[in-house]
Amino acid sequence: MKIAKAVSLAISSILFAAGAFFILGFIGAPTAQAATCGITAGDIAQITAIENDASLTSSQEITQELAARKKLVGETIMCAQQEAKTFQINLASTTVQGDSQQLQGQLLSDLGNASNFYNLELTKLSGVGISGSEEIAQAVLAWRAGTFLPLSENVNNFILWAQNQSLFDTAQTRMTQTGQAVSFLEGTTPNVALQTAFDNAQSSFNSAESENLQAKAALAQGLSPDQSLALIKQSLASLSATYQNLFTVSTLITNNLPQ
Amino acid sequence: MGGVFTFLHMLETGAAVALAGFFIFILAESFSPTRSIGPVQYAVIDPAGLHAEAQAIDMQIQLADIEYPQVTSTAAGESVAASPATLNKVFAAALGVQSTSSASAPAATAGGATSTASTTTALSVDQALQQLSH
Repeated sequence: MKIAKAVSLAISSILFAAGAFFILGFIGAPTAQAATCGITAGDIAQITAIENDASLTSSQEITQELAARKKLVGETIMCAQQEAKTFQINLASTTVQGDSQQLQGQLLSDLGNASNFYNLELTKLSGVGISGSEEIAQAVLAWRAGTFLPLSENVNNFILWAQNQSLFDTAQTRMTQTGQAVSFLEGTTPNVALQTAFDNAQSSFNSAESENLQAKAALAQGLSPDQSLALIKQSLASLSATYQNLFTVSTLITNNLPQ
Repeated sequence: MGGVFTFLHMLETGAAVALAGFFIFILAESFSPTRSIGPVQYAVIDPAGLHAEAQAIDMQIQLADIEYPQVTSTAAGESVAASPATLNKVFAAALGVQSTSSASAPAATAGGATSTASTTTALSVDQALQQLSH
């Protein structure tokens, strides 16, 4: 029996480690794409160097500074485009069921709009002067803070929520099976502690499910990312509490079984 | 002739004993708590399985915590005023990469990023945009 337990624990650990490796690998995947955007402070300093170069005529200075600015602003916007694409890839590869697919589609569409915005700004860049390039940089920066930041947060919240659904399905199955076992044991030998522990687990699970649905509604209604994330975190905390109570149930059942 | 009858009698007795034993076995098994729960129900008290499922939830909680380390300071109404350093941290966290501006983040909020940033340190999109805005 002890050997079987040890083998079972070892297999579970290996499967868990494999899962963790897969998840971490998945999260780390965009790193290579993000690393290709490499504008440095030294690149920006080239502009100052041109401005301070006494050997240049005024015309040469303006021409070179404009070229440098356009190049850097263009590269920065393309880097931002790559960032939006990474979000799109991660979101598109997320599996969801039922009406959540509609929300996924909406977010993908919003990310597509982000890509269109960047394209538009890149197009504008070709016909502007130095001040125009500065205005484009300002406009993109403000747009990212006001539009892309909340969008990216919503996308991440949605992906997080979608990943949680398999955990909820597993917990639901676990609750149903545990409930059957507890009902049987209560029928043969009533045990107040066992029933209380299971009731606590059920209560935590009900809260977790309710918060999970509220999080989904918050995402669908476009509430602030903070609100959605808070509900998602709360649902996970309640789900974790459910398992703490299930551990108690498991221990009480094990103690009631003949050795 | 008598031997045949004796053999048949022994066979009958043996069969009766075997049948009685079988029914006793069945009855005993049906009242055994371990058997009655059944293999599927017995599995619900498997600590290793429970532990693995609980660990998966804990891991997801950790993921939720690292999702937006600065999110509380960039509430919807304040998003427009969010500093590039903050944005960079958020995007870096979202992309699962290490923020490249962490060393110079405090200086980057007021346009002073160049004073501390190394010339070879990669800037975030928002840091670059801020420096190209003036």
